[in-house]
Amino acid sequence: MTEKEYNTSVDLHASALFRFIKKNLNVREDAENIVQDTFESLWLNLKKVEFEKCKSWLFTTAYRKMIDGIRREKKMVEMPESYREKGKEAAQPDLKSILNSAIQKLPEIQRSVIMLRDYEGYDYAEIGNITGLNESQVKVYIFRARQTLKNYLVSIENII
Amino acid sequence: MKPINDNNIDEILFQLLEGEITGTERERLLEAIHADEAYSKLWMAWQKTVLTPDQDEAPLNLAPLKKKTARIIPIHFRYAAAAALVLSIGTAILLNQSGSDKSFADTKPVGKKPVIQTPALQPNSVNTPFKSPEDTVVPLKEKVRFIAHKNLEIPEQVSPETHLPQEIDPIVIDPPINQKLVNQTLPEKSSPEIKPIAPISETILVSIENEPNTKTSIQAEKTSLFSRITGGSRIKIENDSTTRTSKKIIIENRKYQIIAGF
Repeated sequence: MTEKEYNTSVDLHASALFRFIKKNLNVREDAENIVQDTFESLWLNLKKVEFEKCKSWLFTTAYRKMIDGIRREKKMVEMPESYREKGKEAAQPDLKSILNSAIQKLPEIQRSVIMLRDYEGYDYAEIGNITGLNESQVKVYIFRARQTLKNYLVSIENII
Repeated sequence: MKPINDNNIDEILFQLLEGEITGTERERLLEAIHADEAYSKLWMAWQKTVLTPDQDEAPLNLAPLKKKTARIIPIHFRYAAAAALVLSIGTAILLNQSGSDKSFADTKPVGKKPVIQTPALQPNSVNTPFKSPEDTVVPLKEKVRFIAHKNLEIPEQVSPETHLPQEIDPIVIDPPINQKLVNQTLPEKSSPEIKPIAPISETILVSIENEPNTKTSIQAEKTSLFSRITGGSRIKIENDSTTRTSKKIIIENRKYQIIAGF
């Protein structure tokens, strides 16, 4: 990868990477730091990474950094209680906010794979490469994640 | 085709959602799902699990992530080597020049240069190198001059040389030597050709330059004058059969000798 391609990859993938990490951590500053670290790693490995594969490389690196950070700090994101109460009390809760709250309830790996699947459009193999899982595992995690979200949505609808 | 029941409905809906079931089978399954109200609601719930990016999220500032890239201009190795050689030679020449300039600059006096004022000419003085009473370097014939005062005038049609007192013998001055100016009374008979308009001044200024312990003579004056001009050089004329005039002139001083044949 050339320096010019590096800057191009920033334009193409930085926002998506930030969105992915931000959705997982739910803390903007931490997400920005991980994205920054990830692109610094890409800069250091400029000669090793091909431009065509840099997106996968970026998400893989960012995901690992995120997992490392979570494990190191044991900083599992929990939705604030007030936010949960707000969702229950809302007369016409927005579907997106309900879904966001449901996403935060997912286990970390399920959250990651479903976001890679839906936000970035990766197939099972690519998600497996990023997360270090095989395709069957990825499929199972995605299924469980969607099932959890579906159940949450159905339960909310029943409450409303 | 799998039969749809409560046990496998989630799996079938997941496969439909993930695009794993396509074509006619997909269309047939969707017809069957829409036929059942419960399955239809369930299918709608599954469809809502597809995440979409938040558009209200503040965008990430990309500028800190980018790197400033320098433009790389490819250059042939030979051209680069030639350019480096030329630059090296040019630098060496410049350094040598700057070194000589530096030595020259070092010889310059520091501070303000003193101003030397030349003596002012006497008013009405004759146009001769005898600028000042203290001047001693003058041609022999002009050694003795009348310092014209307002009462002395030289006729225009006659050259000033003709007004010199030709009859005056070379002045011989005994000690004290190195006397520069001597006041003498001008004898009237020695300047018969001068036609004074006004009464002649009784005094003239005579410049005399002597070598220590020597007489002031014409030859001495010549040597002295030549020495002053050439810095102590001597001039000799010798015979030389190889020249056209069989003579050669030798000019020499302590360091150099110039031989000229004609």
